[in-house]
Amino acid sequence: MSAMKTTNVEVRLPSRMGFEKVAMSTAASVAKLMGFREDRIEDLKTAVAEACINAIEHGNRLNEKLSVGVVLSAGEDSLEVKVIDDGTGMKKQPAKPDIDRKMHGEEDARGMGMFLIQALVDEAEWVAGADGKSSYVRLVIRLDKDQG
Amino acid sequence: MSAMKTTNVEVRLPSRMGFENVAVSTLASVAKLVGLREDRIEDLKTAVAEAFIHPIGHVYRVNRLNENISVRVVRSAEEGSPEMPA
Repeated sequence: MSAMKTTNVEVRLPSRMGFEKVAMSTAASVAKLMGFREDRIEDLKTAVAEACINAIEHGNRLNEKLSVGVVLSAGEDSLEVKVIDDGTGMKKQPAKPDIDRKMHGEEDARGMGMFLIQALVDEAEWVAGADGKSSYVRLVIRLDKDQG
Repeated sequence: MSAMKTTNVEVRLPSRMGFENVAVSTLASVAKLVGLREDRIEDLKTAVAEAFIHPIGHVYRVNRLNENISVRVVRSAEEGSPEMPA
């Protein structure tokens, strides 16, 4: 049956590079409160930072009048993070990054965010806003029962 | 001359024991970002943790040249959650 209770924490940030660090701190603090292991907290921080940087840079195009919303929903055994911007979402998936090509300067050294996020969390989905705005990325990390 | 620019950060959290740490981390991170000194950040952290026991939200302002950064901490009311003891 479980009417599982979730607890929400919300942060609103200006679309300025650097403020992703604030979301990292908030997310880390919530994850710690929930009892996540130190290394999972580090994974979460990186994923949240990448998601916020994408929202600031691509979603809101560095327009400081627009804010980035970060909604953390703590459930019994998982933490869901939604990072919301005012962009239209992604038209298509970016090409898979090629580390060799990046090292040799044959492709942009950046463009790793989505792949990092997917590698670090248990679930990641990108959702384009219905009205052409309020797009978000949703991340989930689960508390491992036997992590002790 | 140049108008003061205002930057807003807002954090909403439940009125429950433990969440003062979330408010403290968020505020400390903003303070660090704007270049507040380490000892002042420690003062701020203590102040935020203390203020969290009060039932209403608080706004903290950190000023730097031509910019006023305000951080609003909003405690959301939760059904069935007793007020925290003062």
